[in-house]
Amino acid sequence: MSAEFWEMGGYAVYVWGSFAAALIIYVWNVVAPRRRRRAILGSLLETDE
Amino acid sequence: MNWTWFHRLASPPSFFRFAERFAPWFGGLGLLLLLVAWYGGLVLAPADYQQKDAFRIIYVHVPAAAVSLSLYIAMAVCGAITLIWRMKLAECVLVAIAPVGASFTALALLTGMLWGKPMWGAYWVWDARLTAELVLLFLYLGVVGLNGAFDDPRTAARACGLLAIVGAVNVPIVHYSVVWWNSLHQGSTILKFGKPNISASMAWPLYAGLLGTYLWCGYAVLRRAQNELLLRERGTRWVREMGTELAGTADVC
Repeated sequence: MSAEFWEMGGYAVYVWGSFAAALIIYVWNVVAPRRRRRAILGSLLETDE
Repeated sequence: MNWTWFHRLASPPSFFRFAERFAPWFGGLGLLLLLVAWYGGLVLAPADYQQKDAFRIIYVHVPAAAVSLSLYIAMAVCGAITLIWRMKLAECVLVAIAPVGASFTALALLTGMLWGKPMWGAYWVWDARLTAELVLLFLYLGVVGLNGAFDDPRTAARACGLLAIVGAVNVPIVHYSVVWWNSLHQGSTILKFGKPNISASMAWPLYAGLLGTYLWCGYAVLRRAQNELLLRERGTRWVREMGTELAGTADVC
């Protein structure tokens, strides 16, 4: 990618800041429920045995 | 009309299996569309004649704002079903939506601030649209907090349902704020009657991003609702069977 692309016409902080924030939120939305499921399944097996 | 399919789907084990089967499709298709949308928005779409490259924030801001309202409506509908029919699945979906909605409302506000600074000269103004969206965030956080404040999940869900319904009055206020008041916020670009105010080369990544974000939220809500079902139905036979079945699989996606 060219330097011009990363500069975003001088708006780099705002554009990349927005996309970085979005990336964090999107990833969290998938990771958080998966971690929770693992914890729940773990506790279910514990109480079973 | 035959409602058997509905009652069958609404039973916890059936819904769990339904979600188990379809959630990966929501996540996979959502990811594909989002990758295409971000590439289209950042690389392929031309810079705006007025806002230059800063307009590209639209590709994360508008989908986040759209789902923040849609998820609230879905949450309020679940709230009504919870209060009227005391349906367990509606309770689970209700509390599953709240954190997802809160995260996308926060994202809409944050990207809006990052867009506002270069375009309006200020991160924040107490404008009708911005203020109403902030109230939306507080409503979501209220549901999350209320849900955690009760020991009994069914009592918690009914309290959350009531708050969700009362707060629904805020949804049309957010949506129509740019029409009803002189707002600094620009008017609707695509979600309006008539021709969209955007050229096709800029529009298609936005549509892909919207659809991708809805699917992504669908994945998150399905997975969270599944977790709620496992917790509420623990001790039943189907959860014990499902627990051993799922623990056998190396990774759950």
